Amino acid sequence: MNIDEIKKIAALARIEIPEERLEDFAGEFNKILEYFKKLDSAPTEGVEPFCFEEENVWRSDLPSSDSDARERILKNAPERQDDFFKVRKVIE
Amino acid sequence: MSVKENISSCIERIKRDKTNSFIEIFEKRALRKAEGIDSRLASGDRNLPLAGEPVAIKDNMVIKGEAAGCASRILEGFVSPYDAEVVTRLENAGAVIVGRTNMDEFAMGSSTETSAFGPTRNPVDMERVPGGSSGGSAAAVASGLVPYSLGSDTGGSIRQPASFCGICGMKPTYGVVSRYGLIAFASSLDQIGPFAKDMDGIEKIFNIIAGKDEKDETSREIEKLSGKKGKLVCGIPKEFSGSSPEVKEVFDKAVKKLSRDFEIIDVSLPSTEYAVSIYYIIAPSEASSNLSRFDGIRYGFRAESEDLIDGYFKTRGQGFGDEVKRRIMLGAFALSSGYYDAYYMKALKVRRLIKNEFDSAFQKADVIISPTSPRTAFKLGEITDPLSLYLQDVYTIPANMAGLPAVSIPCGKDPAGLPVGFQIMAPRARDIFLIETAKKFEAVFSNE
Repeated sequence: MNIDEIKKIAALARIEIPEERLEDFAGEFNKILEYFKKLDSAPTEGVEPFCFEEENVWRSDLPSSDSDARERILKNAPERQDDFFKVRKVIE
Repeated sequence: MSVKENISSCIERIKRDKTNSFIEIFEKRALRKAEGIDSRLASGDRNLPLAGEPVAIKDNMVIKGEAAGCASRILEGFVSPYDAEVVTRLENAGAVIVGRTNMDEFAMGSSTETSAFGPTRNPVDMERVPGGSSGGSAAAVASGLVPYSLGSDTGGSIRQPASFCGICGMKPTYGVVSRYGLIAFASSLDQIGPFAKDMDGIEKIFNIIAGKDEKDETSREIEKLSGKKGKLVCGIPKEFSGSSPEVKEVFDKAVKKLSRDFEIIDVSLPSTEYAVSIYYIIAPSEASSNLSRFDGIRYGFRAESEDLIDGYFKTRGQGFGDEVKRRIMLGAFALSSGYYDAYYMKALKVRRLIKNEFDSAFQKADVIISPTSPRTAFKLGEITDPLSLYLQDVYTIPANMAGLPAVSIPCGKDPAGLPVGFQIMAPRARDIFLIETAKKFEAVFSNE
């Protein structure tokens, strides 16, 4: 993995990495990807993927009776306007 | 002594702590809660199994009205609008939560050195790490600041610090303890569990926090059935052979002691050789999705920026530490177009192989035993290369992959006086049986 590819992945992840750190990240990435090569020998032909055996449990989608939850949630906003989260400029 | 006096002296002890185990003491809240317990006790309330017991929680579990931050700058200023289910259950049982403990940032690490609040030290040897990622919770119990604490275990983050600090730690079966209010790292692996000095303490906390919760969509019941008739069979995976000579010697001695009362056999888990690889694909993939919520809009830190998109980059660039960035990027890579099948899907297939091999091994053995970690506690700053640190989790990751319950209990010390942890793994949902077995082993180990 080279510097350009690391930049591309950082962009996918929406993370700013300073220019002078890109080389470190690329070096560490390469070591890790090299280690992953081990996996090539794993006999996975015809094997179904597995995540967890629990079945998802569903519940009714009903409004909460917790009436001041909205205020407690909005209080955390770095910027708000009335009952809205305020974001920065989206388009010119 | 009243609960309030007891909690107050616990808080004084924590204030004198030299290990940096705590990020914050909930002093006001804890004293207020303690008063409440005192008056409930005075009015004859007998329904408080943990009456007045101080408990510390890892900084990735939330309490309504208090800060929680995963030891990260990106959650700066966040105050939780709700309680985690484990908090509700502990408090209903009369426990008093005294503070939040230090951890590797977002639970990504094995040494508690990636915290934005500085590293925690191991009370056994202050030059060494307490393990991680739940290092603060482990050190707090090991140094006697609190009798119990909660950690979370995604790839060994409860068991390995328990091992390094010479205490007990348990990762329950996946789904047995509600994850509601646990800030997500890798949702198919994350599990909350207790630390205590002995297995009685583990059992006490486990009984309170375990049980179905409809707010966690992967919640499940435990099997209440316990022991078995006849001689218990312990399997040792022959692939778990990479221990340091010191760990190997202490572990082998411990096994010899067990062999007087229990049958010891070899088992094979060939695909566990891939466990570290698939962990560092699956966990970062899930993390890259889970941590996308930290965008500087709804909570936490927000960097100055020109526009919305630039704001994401700067907030996440300045708010996350290097290890968190590395893992989010690894995940984004493994899930990206062109690599998804080769990495993510391949990892999930190997995950099934590991699960199937455990299922077969448990046909022959009642429990599977191993050292918890291939080595004892290392020095602060000793392991800096990310990959070398990842390889420390080699014995603990397999249980997370298969969703199994597992504990670490102390089984002796190496020549330098550093504790060695003994891992016991049991079939899924057999947590009660695991605790009973660990108590028996604990009695054998502490008997000489």
